[in-house]
Amino acid sequence: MRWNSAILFIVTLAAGLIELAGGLKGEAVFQLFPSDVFGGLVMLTISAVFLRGLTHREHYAFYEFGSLILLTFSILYILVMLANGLDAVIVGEEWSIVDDLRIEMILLPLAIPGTSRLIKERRELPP
Amino acid sequence: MRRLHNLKPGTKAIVLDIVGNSTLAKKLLGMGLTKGVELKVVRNAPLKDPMEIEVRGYSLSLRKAEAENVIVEVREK
Amino acid sequence: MDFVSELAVARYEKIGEIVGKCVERVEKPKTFSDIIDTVVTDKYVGIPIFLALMWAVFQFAYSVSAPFSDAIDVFFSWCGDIASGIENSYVASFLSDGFFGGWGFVLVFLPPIAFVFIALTILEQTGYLPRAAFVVDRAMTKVGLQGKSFIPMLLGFGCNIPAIMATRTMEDDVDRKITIMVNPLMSCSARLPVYVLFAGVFFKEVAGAVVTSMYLLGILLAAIMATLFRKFIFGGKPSPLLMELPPYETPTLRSVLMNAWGKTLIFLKKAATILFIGAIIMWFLTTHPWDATNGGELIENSYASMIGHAVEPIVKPFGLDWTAGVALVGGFMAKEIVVGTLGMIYGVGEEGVADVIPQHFTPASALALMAITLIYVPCLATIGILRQELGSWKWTAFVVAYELVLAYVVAGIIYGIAVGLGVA
Repeated sequence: MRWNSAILFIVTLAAGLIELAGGLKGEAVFQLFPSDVFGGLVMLTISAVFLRGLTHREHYAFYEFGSLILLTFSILYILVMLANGLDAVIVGEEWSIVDDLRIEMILLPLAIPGTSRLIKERRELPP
Repeated sequence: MRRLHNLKPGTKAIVLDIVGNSTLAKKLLGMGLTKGVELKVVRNAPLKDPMEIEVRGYSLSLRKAEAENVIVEVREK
Repeated sequence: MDFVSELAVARYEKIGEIVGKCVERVEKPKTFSDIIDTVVTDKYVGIPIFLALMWAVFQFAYSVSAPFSDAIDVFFSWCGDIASGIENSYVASFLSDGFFGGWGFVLVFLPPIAFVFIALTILEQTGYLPRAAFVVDRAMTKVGLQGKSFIPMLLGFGCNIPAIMATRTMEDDVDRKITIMVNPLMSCSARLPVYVLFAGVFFKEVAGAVVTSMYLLGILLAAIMATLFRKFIFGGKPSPLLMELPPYETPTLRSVLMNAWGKTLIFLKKAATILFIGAIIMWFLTTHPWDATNGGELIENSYASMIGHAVEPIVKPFGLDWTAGVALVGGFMAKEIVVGTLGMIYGVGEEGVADVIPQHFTPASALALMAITLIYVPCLATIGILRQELGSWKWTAFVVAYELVLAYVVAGIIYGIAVGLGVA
């Protein structure tokens, strides 16, 4: 599990830095990494949670909750994408799905093992 | 004589008395901080205030300024 | 010890007696809540996690709800277009701009309110909401507020209407009142077009910094006013933050939707009427006297414009003329209208405004206008929601009054400094 945490830490750190750099520069650095200061800071926060878990006595807690936040944002950005698409139809503007695809959606599968462990603990442990 | 706000996380203590402003004292009593009850300091918030204690089987959060009015006797660290 | 204290002690003695008979205490095992709390109240990542989750709430409340608001807007504009075809131009104007325009104006607030409450109910039912207050309380008490004020203040950056309704998660009456009263100072997204226009025209290279400083000015003023209100109106004492941190639960879809629906219904039943009447009054003021405005087309001859002219002597010291006055009167309906109103008065439309405003404003007076737009009065819809949530016209009037005075003072100071530094 420390390995999982370590991998997720590096991936989210990289994604966060690229988004943040793009946000400060005013244009996206790579496709899939929007120029988004707050989005970048969110990813850096998630990476900090995984990092904190690496040295913490209860490292699995950080691994699981970090995964949950990552999953939350993956789903949130999918919802935002759907909303933008729907909005374009309603207002009658052009919209391409490519503009709203972002790295967090692709990282969604990586968030599942940790989140399912969390759900399992929810069932097995007293509240 | 120790006051609750000075206790470190992990400390267990017995409430000896509630002092100070009566409105606050009533609220503290209402939340179960009566004389003789045992409590345990669970943690401080990231900015050191408020604190979380465990009392009567539930978790209660209160500010340090409020905890200052609770006189306690330390049982174990 | 007084009676109430005796009562509390006796009550807990009885509880202890009963619990002792029927509950067997074992050493408390590790719980699910312990695991979550280890992370969310961690001294290093606790606050960043809190901020990240708040950002998720903000995005969900405003980005995801946007198509629903737009659909409502499009629908009522469509109704208005049909109504504007009516032969009798007075009836046509009333129906399209007053009636349908008014309902569109009211109902576009439903989606963000519903989405805010979906997000807040999820946080509340999982048990995270009290932890959020626990984590941020210290920082918020420094500025006269408390932990639970954070979410309503943050939501204010989107729109003050759902933000003020979000104070319903606060139990303490004084804390809730203060949070509501300073909420309009959080610069909602409707004020952004005004900043962008003026900062873009007058402060080209540093436009971004000027816009950001308007937001920071709002936060600063909210902190100052909250502190002053607590000190001078509510007796100065912070309300205690004694709250249970309940075990974490999994929310159910049904209860989340029911709760969000209930809160949305409160808005529909109470505030919607006030807002609709306000919209009709604004329609009347901008289209009457009917003949002089040529059937609502020449806003510069309307009652709204007369009010704007009447305001001119008041704003003149800041280098502002009657056009700014009229725009501000229009902005009372909704602050983004300031730009559109200027376009109408100058007869250039919304797109041409940027080219003509240098003739009517200087950089210093532009700064003054931006500050006034930020502060002057809560928009019409916010006044409706203030009335609903504060529960009295007296408090609502107080908010309007303090904001007017504050806007005047702050705009004066900013104009003075800008002129002094030679910006004008």
